[in-house]
Amino acid sequence: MNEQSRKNAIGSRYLSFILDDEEYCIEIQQVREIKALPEITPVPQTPEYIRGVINLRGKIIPIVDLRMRFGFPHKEYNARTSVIIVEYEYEKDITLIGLIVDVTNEVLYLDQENINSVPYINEKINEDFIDGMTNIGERVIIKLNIHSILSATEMKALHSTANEEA
Amino acid sequence: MGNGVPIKRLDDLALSFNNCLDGDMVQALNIQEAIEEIYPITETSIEGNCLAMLHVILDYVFDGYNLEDMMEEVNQLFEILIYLNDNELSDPIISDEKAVIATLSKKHTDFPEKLDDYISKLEKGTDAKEAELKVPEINKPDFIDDLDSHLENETFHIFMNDTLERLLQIEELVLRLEGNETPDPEDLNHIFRIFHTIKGEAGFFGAKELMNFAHEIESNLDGLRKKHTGIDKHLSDELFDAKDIIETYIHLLQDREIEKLRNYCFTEDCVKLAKLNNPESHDDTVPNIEESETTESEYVEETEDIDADKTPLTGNADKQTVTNRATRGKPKKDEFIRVRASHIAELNDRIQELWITENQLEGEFLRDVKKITKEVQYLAMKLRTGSLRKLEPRLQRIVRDVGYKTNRDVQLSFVGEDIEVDRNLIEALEEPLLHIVRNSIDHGIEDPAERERQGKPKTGSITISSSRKGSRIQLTIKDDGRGLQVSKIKARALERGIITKEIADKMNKEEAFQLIFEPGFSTASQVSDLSGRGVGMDVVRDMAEQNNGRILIESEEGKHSTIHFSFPLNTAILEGMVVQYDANHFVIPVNEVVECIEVTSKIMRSVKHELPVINLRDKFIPVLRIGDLFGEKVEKAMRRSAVILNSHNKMYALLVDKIIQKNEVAIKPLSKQFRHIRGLSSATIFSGGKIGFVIDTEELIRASLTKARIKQEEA
Repeated sequence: MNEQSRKNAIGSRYLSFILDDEEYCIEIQQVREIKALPEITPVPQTPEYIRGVINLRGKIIPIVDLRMRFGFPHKEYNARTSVIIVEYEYEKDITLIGLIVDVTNEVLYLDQENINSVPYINEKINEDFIDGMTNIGERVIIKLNIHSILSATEMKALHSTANEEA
Repeated sequence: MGNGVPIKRLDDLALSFNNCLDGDMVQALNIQEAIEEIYPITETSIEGNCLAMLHVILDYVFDGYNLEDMMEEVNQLFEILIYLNDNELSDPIISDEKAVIATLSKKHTDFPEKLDDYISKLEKGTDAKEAELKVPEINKPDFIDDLDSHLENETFHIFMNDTLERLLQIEELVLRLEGNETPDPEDLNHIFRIFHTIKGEAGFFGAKELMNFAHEIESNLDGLRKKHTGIDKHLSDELFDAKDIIETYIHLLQDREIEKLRNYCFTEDCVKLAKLNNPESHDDTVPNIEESETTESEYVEETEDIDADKTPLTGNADKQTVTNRATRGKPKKDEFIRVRASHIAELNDRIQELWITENQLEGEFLRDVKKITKEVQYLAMKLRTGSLRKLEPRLQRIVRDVGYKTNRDVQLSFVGEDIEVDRNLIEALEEPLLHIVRNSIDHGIEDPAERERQGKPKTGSITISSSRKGSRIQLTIKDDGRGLQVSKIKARALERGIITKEIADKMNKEEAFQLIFEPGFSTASQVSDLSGRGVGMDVVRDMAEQNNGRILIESEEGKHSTIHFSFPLNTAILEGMVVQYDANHFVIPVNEVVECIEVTSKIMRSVKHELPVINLRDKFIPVLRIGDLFGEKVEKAMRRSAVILNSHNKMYALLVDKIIQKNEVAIKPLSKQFRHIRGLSSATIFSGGKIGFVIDTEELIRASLTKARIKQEEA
C-alpha cells in the first residue's frame, strides 16, 4: 500500500454498533475503549439520556444512552450492552464520555465515496448527527457525527429543559 | 438608542462599496479612512463591530481577495447598521451580527483575529486606556542597590523562576515557527505575550533595563504578529539571542553577581559575551575552566579593574569568576523543574486511588503504611496547587500604573490565609482579577480631594481576601470607593437596549448589579492590550462559570464595592460525613455538620404550605431533602436519619437513609458538562470504586427555600 492509500485506510476505519436493530458507526480514531456496562451513579438535573457517571480507573466520566438520545424507547441493559468510551473536544479540553449501545459489532473499512447523504429518520435524530449512510452487501450502516451529538449547545439547551421539568 | 451612525454617512459608504466592486480601489482607501472617523461616534459595540468588519473585509481585498465573494456579508452588515439607526438593539440583530462573523470566519480562517486586532487598534485610538503606558521616571532606589531586599522576597524568586520557564517556552515556540510553512499565528502571539509579561513583571520590581529590553522586543513583535507571517532565521536568531540575554541576566540576579549586573549590557554586541559568561553555554569559545589557577584574592582585584572600566566583561576575568563561583560554595537554591501537567494529574489520580483503597484495609500493621500514604497524598495535592499571591506582582503593577494615570492613590493588600488553590484556577483568575482591579481604580475609587470631602482616607484601598469554607474556596475583592449606583446601572442598561423600562422599574438592587455581567454592557468592546481579546465583566462571569464558580456583587453607594467569588475545591482532601440516600452516597463537609440524629415520625412536623420541620429539643428546624436535587416532588420513602447542618448560623435538617461514617475523602471536580447542576459541588470516589457527590449546602438550602416559596404562591 502506498502512503496515500494507507492514509485513506487509517482515516476510514469505523467502529460499528447496533441501536434498536439499526447499525451505526463512528470513526475509530475517537474511540478510546469499549467496556461492558459498569455501575452507573445517577446525576441529578440532567436529561434522561444522561444516565449518570461511571468510574473509569479513577476518572469520573458521564454516560449517555444513545438509544434514549435518539428517542428510541429505553431497553433494559443486559450482558451484551456495551459502553463505548469516546474522546472529544469540549471547550478546548479533551474529555471522555461513554456511549451506551445495544451491542458493538466490528471494525469496518469504509470508502469515503460510498457514504451517501441520508433521508430523514425521525425528529429526534437531528440532521447534524448523521454524516451519511453506506451499504455493505445487505447491510445499511449509518455514520454518526459524534461531535455534534455531544456538542455543547445541545447539552446546554437540553439542560435548561431538564431544569424546567424538574 | 436610535442615533448611531448617521444615515447619510451609511449611504455614502454603501455607494463607495459599489464603486469598489466596479474596480475603484481608491474608494476602498476612502472607505477605510471614513470608518476610522466614524467609529468613535458609534454608540453600541455592535455598530463598532460592523464597521470594523467592513474595514477588515477591505483589508482582504487589498490582499488580493475578490470583493464580490464577500459582498453578501457587506450587504448584511449594512442592513444591521441601517436597522440600528432606527431601532433598539435586539436578539435577532445580535445573532445576525454573529452570523456574519461566522460566515466570514469560514471564508477566512484568520478573520476573527484580524477583527480583534483591528478593533484593538481602534480602541487605542479612541480611548486613552492604559494600553501602552509611558513608564514615568520615578525616584526609585536603583534596582541593583536594592537587590538584596528583593532577594528576600518570595515573589521575586517566583518571578525569576517563572521568567526562566517562560524563556524555555520561547525556545520551543521559536523552534516550532522557524521555517514552518504553515506557522500557527497563536505561537507568535504567545511569544509576544511572554515578552509582554516579562516586561510587566520586571517593571513591578523596578528592573528598568530588563523592562526596557523586553519592551523593545515586544514592540518589534507586535508589528510582525499582525502580518501573520512565520519567522525567518534572522528573526529566530534574534529571539534566541534575546532569550539568552535575559536568561543570563536572571542567573546573575539569582547569584547576586552585583558587579556583573551593573555592567550588564542588553544590546546585541554583548550577546557573544553573554554566551561566554554563561557557564552552561556550549559555545566552543568558552575558555577551559580547569586551567585557571587564580585564588580568591586575585579575583577581588580583577573585579575592581572591571569596575573602573565599565565595559562589557571580557574573556579573562571570566575564567576566574567561573572557577571561583564553583569553589565559593554558594548556598544551594531550591530549584524549580518543569514537568507535564498531565503527568502530575495522573500521579495524583493513582495516589488518590491508593489512599482510598488503603483506607478500607484494617489492621495495626497498616497504621504506619496508612500514615505514610496520607502524607504522600498531601504532597501530591500540593503539586497541583499554588498560591494566589503569585498574582500579586502583576496586580500591584496595575495599581501603580492606573493609579498614576488617574492621579489616584490606591493601596492593594492581600488578607486572610494564603490558601492553596488549583493551578488552573489561578491561571484562569489572572486576567479577570486584573480587570476588576483596573475597574476599581478607574471607576470605583474617587480622587483624593473628593475622598477627603467624604471623610475617607486619601489613599483608596483594595483588599483581596481568600478563605476556605467547607467544600468551597471564597475569594473577595473589595474597594472602598464610591460603590455601584443602581440608577446609573439601570440607565446604562436601558441605553444599551439590554432591558426595557418595565423590567428596569421592577428590578431590585441585587438584580440591577447582575446587569453588569451582560455582554454589551460595557463601553464598546473593551479590549485587553495583552491578547487583543475582550475582557469585560461578562468574560469574568464566563470564567467563573467555566470553573464551576459563582459570583456575587455587594455594594453600598458611597462606601464600597465588593465582588465575591466562590469556587468548589478541585484538589483537596475534605473531611466529610458520608451518608446514604437510596442507592447513592453523598458527602457533607464536616465543618457544616452540627450533629446526627435518628428521625421518628414523632419529631417530624408539617405545617400546611410551609417547609416541613423537625422538632429538635423544642426548636423547629427546617427540613432539607436530597430529593429536591433530583426534582422529586414527593419523598419516595421514609428517611430514618438526619444530619443537622449549620449554614450562616441557621440550622437545617438534611434527611438521609443512613449515616455511614465520618471520613476523609479526596475530591474530584465535576465534569464541565455538569457545571450547571445546583446543589453538588464536587465528586469523590470511595474505596470499592463507588462514586459519591459532595453536597453544596448553600445551594441545597436555596433550592429548598425556592421550592417552598413556589408552593406557597401556588397555594
